[in-house]
Amino acid sequence: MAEHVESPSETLDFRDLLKRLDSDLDFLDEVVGMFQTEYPTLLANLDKGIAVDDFVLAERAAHTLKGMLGNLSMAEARATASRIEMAARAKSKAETVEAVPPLRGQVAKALELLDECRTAARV
Amino acid sequence: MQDGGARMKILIADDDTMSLRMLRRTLEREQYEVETATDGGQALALLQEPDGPRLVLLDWMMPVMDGPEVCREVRRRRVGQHVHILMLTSKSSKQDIVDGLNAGADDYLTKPFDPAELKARLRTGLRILELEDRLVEAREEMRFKATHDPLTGLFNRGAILEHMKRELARTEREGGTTTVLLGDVDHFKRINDTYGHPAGDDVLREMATILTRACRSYDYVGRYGGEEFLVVLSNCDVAVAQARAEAIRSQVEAARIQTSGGELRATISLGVFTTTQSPGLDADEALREVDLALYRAKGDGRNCIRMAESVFTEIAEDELVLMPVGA
Repeated sequence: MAEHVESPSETLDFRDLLKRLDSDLDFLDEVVGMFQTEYPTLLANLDKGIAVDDFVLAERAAHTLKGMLGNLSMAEARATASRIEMAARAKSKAETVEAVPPLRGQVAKALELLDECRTAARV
Repeated sequence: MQDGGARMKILIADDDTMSLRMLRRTLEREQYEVETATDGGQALALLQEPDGPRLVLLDWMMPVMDGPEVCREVRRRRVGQHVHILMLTSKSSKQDIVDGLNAGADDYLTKPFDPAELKARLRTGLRILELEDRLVEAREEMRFKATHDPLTGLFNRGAILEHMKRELARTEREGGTTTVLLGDVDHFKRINDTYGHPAGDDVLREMATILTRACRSYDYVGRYGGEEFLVVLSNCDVAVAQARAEAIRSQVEAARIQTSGGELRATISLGVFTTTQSPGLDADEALREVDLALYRAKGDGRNCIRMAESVFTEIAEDELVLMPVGA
């Protein structure tokens, strides 16, 4: 198994994720599929909320993302989503806007790592 | 895993479909019967159902109503069994926890959930619900004992009088009729003296069975005292009341009662009072009427029924020769 499968990181704690799913790799595929389906919509809601100053919409989208990222054991991205949620609640547009690109990057990196872990775990 | 018995229903209320799916799977593997809601309104509706879940995993932020609102409504509306609410949310500050618990949650867990901790906390919830069930059971048992006669299982004197008062008041208020039958086992003292008190108890239990079978589910049957039984019937006219009393009398007469002293036969005398004969009487007055009717049945040779006659209300009590108990 690859090293990042064994070693937890802020990007992805794969062991923690597997523990939450009772090490069921098929169920992991299902959960990841659900995230990949919903992630674009949540990002779109976040962008839209920011664009039209609908901070409630932005806060809700960030909150849901935070929950999903937490369930996927992606601590770094989860922390960023949490920061966006709090910024939106405070109606701080600048802070909200500023945190979105890092979020996208962290999620992309975590998903890439997750793919590697899933492949390694199947071997 | 839950201990034996029926599967416990649990409600998961969460608008995050991924979280919902993961929780559902975890809990179904623990043999819970899982129901789900994706907003607070749905959650509240499910919890208000008569056989709704008593264990809830409740997210904080949801459409329609948020978690704390659902908690407050459940605590405000629910008058029956306790619902154990575990708030499961990614809101994790001390103030959030305090607010959640103050809203009525019993427990609080932050997302992402740890499966072992979640299962352990739910087991705690189950223990609390089981404790509540045992307390309710004990309370119901005490309530039953306080209102029922231990020998026959019928309402005791206090309870049957309460039912009679309520039925008479309802009749006075809404119309209709109430019938009161007062029955007394003939020569009961002789049964006790000849065959022993356990045999007498068997006779009383058989009387209770006959009386209960002769009545409808919404009638009331009670042990008034000793070998006396009081029956309260709703909406029977005089003819039906008379027929019902006669049916009881003949069933008692025909019964072959198995007792510890051998097979026995017994008879019963009954007084019958209906509000159509004497409307507007209160419970004490109705009791006096039916008691006088029973007194007449005894005087006329026993093993018969007598209808209350208003003329008896005119007789002063000190003019009556009261018959001894068990006569």
